[in-house]
Amino acid sequence: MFKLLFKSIRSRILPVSLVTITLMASMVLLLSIERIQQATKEGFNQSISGVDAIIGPRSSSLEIVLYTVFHIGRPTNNITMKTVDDIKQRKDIDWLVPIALGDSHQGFRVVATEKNYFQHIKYAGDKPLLMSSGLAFNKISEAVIGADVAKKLNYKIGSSIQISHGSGESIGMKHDDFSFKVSGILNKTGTPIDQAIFIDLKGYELIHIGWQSGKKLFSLDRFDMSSVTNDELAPKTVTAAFVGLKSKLTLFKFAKNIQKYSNEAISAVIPGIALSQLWSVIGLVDKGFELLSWIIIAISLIAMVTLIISSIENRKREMTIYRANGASAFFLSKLVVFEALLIGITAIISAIVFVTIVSYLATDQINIALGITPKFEWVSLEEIKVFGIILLAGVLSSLVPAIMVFRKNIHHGLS
Amino acid sequence: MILNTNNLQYTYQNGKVVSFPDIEIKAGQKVLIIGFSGSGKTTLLNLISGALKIQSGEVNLLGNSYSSMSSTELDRLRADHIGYIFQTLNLIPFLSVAENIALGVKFSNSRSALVSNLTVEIERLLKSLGLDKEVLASPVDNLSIGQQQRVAVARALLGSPNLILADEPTSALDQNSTNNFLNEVMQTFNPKSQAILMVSHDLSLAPHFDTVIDFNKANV
Amino acid sequence: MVNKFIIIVLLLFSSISFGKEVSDDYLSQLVDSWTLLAPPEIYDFMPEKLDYKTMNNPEFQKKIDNAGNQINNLMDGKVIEIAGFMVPLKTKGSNVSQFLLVPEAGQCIHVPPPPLNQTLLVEMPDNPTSIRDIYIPIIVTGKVSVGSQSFDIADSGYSLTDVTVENLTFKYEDDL
Repeated sequence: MFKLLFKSIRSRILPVSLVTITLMASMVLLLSIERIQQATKEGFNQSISGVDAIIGPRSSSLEIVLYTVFHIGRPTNNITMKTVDDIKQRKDIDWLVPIALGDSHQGFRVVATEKNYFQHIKYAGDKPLLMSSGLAFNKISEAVIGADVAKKLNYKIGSSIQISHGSGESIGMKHDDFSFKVSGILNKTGTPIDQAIFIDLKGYELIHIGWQSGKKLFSLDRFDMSSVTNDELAPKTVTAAFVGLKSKLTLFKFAKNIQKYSNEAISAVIPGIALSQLWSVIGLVDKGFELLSWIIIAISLIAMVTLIISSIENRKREMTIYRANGASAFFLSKLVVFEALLIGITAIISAIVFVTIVSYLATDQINIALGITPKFEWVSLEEIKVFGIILLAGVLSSLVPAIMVFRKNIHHGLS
Repeated sequence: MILNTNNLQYTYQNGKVVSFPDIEIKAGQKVLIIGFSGSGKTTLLNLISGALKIQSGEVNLLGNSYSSMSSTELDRLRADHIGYIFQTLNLIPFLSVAENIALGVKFSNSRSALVSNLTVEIERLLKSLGLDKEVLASPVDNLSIGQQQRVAVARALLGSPNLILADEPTSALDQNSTNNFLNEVMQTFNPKSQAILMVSHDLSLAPHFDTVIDFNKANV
Repeated sequence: MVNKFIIIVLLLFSSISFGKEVSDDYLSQLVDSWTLLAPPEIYDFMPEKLDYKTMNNPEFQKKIDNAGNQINNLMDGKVIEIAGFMVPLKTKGSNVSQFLLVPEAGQCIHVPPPPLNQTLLVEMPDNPTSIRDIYIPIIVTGKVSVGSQSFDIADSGYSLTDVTVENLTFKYEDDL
């Protein structure tokens, strides 16, 4: 039967291929959406590890997580270093890392922080931040860059960086009176850290000397660097502070206390909770996309059934000849159903191969464009289940023309 | 007795009712049924081949009574014992000539078993029907009508089914080719076990047959 | 036939990111226009070499604040081309007929307003332009008039009339 089926398909290869490609495209869509969803979720979840709470101005917790961890969006307020130092004294805190955000370089965000950032901040669960070359900054003029920054801008240890003021808020304002030198390059983490540039908080303060109301009043060339002590370069305000507690059990009590802090309007954001808020929002959007791709698949299946029905007209001769030679109506129906099965399986396998290979080859581009790292995996159990359903739907819907063939032949005989 | 029919009657969808003459065919017989177009000749063949369900009357092939058989059983019966030739378009264009002929035994285990060497048997049939071996290498669409019909006959004869049914196979051939064609057919089939039943509107074919039934006269 | 179709599709896509792409030189010019609005002499009180102490001296700071209020009268009637960010004041539907142009996005809304001589009041009563997000950089061309005005969110030292507005795009696209 299969030899007959293949030769029959070959004689109608153009319409059959078109339908197969249509089906395959719709499945590529579904697969891509689902994999991007997965990777994004994992990527997000991996980006924040070991940080129990983020102290920030009283603002939407989701916003705070987005700009401090993912560098998405802009902070609209700051918190004072005085408050940060005060909180640091608390007994339930194990470590605290303040950060200041605002500047950028060639589109990459600059994170001003203390050296202990690299000690305490982890990713993907518990992986520590390691340098692929060089060391964390020791001097105020030194900078550590993420793996993607080094790759895209071709920076090495010793490369010189001049920072731009703001991250899109200013036009052409550069801190071109001060150069930072790359002292360390981080390993690839698959998180937004890869696209960040780290400098010391004091360096951040230094380059903003002479800036007022967003305007540069004088260049640092005119400034006597020795006139300011290291202590004086300590920032007065920062964007936020990452906190690690000695015991996770004290987390909620800690957050509550911070909420009640009387000297400044601050709050403690628990990243996991904020992220789940994010997922419930995004989840709705995802459901929308999913629905869309299911609709597209349904349309493709309809196209397939349409093809089969129209092909039956073309294959009337073929089928009558089989029938005349003793083929049962059941045999003819099998031809129809198996063709649908063949189209379905080909489309599914092609879709899987296509998506997996593309995401493998384009891992870097996807990483830079979407900030996520696609996992290299041929197909997951969930996906197999979904494809099984689609295949079943395809076969079942092919039963329609199959039954048509069946009945037609029994009632009309040969001609 | 290979085939006999009894009081076969068929009601078409438009209400027209046709009664078919009773037919009896033994091995070796060459039967021609004459009827004008639309008289029901093809319907008769459909009923005899088992492809069309009997409404009233009986058809008996080699002792099997159609009315008590399911459509699957009828299909099997047809596969095992009947060879069918259409008026035109007998061949499937995307199959080779040999594959087309092989369809004759494809749906019957017993009939396949009778053909020990497919290639040899196909070549023998072709030769007997006046076809060159080269025909096997030719794509179906390149064959002339005469060649196509002969290939169809080869298929119908492959595996020696007891009953050959032919639905006006000569209407597209000219007078000369028709004579040659029928001569070759008659000399190729095995009168010891096989019989031929052909329907046509062309009375001039009569000399090739030993029994002629005029359907026009027998019709209601 | 296919080629025509491809070209049309490409054109459609390119028109979506509509804005004037600027070269580095042109960009410097646009940014420098802000300096024109602040007379260069106003910062003459600053010594050639500064140190930390001087900077933080309240007297020094006061002088800086004053400098911000100095208006350059020579600019009156001049036509300038300047780049900045929009802070809408009077809107109608999706258009704005009066807005403030500031050098840094977010000023007046998230961050304190700029000094008097770095805030432009742009008037477009007859030809309103579409509202831009506060983070979209725009190029504004118009005629300067000297005169301070006060608004809830900021005070402005100059107004601009006979105005045209375009979006500005940089060479690298950052999605910050």
